[in-house]
Amino acid sequence: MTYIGHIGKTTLARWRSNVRLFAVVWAVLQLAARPRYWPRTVRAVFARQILFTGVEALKFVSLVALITGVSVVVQAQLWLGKTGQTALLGPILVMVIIREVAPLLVNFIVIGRSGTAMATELANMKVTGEILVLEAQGLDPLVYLAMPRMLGMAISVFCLTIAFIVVSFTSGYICGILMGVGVNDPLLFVDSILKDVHLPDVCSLLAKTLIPGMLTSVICILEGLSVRRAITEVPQAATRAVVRSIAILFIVSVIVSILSYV
Amino acid sequence: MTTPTFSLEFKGVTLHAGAFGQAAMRNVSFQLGPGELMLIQVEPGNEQLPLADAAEGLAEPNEGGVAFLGERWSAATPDRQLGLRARIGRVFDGPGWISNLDVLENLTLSQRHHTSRPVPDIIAEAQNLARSFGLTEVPAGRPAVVLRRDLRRAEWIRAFLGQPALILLERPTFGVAVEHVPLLIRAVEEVQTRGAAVILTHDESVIAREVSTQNCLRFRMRGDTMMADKASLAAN
Repeated sequence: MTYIGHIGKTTLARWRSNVRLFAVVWAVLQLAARPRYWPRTVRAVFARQILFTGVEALKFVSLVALITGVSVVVQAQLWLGKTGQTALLGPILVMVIIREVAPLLVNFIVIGRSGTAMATELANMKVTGEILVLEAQGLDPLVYLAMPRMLGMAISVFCLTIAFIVVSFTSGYICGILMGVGVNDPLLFVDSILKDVHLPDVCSLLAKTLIPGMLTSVICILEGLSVRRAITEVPQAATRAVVRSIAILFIVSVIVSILSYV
Repeated sequence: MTTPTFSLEFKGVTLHAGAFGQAAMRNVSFQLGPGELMLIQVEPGNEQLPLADAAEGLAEPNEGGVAFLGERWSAATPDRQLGLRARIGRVFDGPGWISNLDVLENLTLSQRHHTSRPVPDIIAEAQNLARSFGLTEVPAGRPAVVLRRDLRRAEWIRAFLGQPALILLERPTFGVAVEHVPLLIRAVEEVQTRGAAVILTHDESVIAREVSTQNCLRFRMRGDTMMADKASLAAN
């Protein structure tokens, strides 16, 4: 095969893979809109997914947010104070933390923590014949496995991002007070940020949390279920899932950022 | 809608050897009515048959067709297929557990998913079945931490739970003590009396001895061919 032929073949394969990805997301969203696809077993998996991806990750996300708050928010207050541009504190923090850093870091944490677990779990289920056991009992893997995981992960990413923003701003404010930089009045600090949060920022936040949350979970599910019968395929599937998830996360982030500034 | 005459019907079904070690089956035809038991003795080395997968519409025959409760699997919509499978109980020839659910959750999964029965009722039925199979109660914990002999009997519970119309028992006594075999046979006879059809594959003579000839069709595998036991056909 020629070099150009190889490029063409790879491009077509990627294209088909992405079409499949979006088709699964769309199918799951359609299923999720119908109450009859939410029996108690599916609701239980959904709750467990939120517990694992959202609640159990809260501590680590808070720690990262605390460090981010200390380094970014304090520095912003310090340097803007020195240059006499304190009026820019709100716009800069909204742009840096709310629009970019918080969604990106939370997505990274969730991919590393839950994405790999999801891909590995489903790959193991496939290898050990557990998917067949589900189907034999009349449980649709798309409904029982994919739907609650995808929605649970998307909601968890969104909620964790909100928690990240709150913790980073709080830690940044407290650290600023201790270092003697920035505003002392907490209401003034909150107001300086909130007055610069506009509809595009909210839309950007929603898009950068819910869309990557859904896409990365479906990538992990599809990669997990793509294994055949060998246990050695499991770590390979997990690696592929993480790489693809990070790639799609950056693509979505860039597209949403561009759209939000247009 | 008329009541189907047969619970399960195979018409000229040929299944090639599966990728996962399942034996091939050639030109299999039978009709299993409500309350009938089909006993199939498998050959050593070819114990795993694709029959149960085909009966559940999970394995598409290379030739022929399979109908359950009068509906051909190939003609049923995916949602309908899931609904039909909810009426089938099964003991798997191989791993049959979801490893991240505990045994009780595994046993009650299908009933919790497909019905609105209160969970305490489902658990009570599972505990009753457990006692009828010689277990003090449903084993606790994940399947990985339960003794293999108890786990096999726990699979019996799942197969009989919720009054299924068809029960597929693939070598159900594998790894189980001989004294527990009559408990299974008694349960099979009970579900037969209320109209469930049962397919039981085995490689042990104790099963053949324990099962009565009433409403029982006996077959044995020879290579890829399923041959009827003429004596049992005469008795029926």
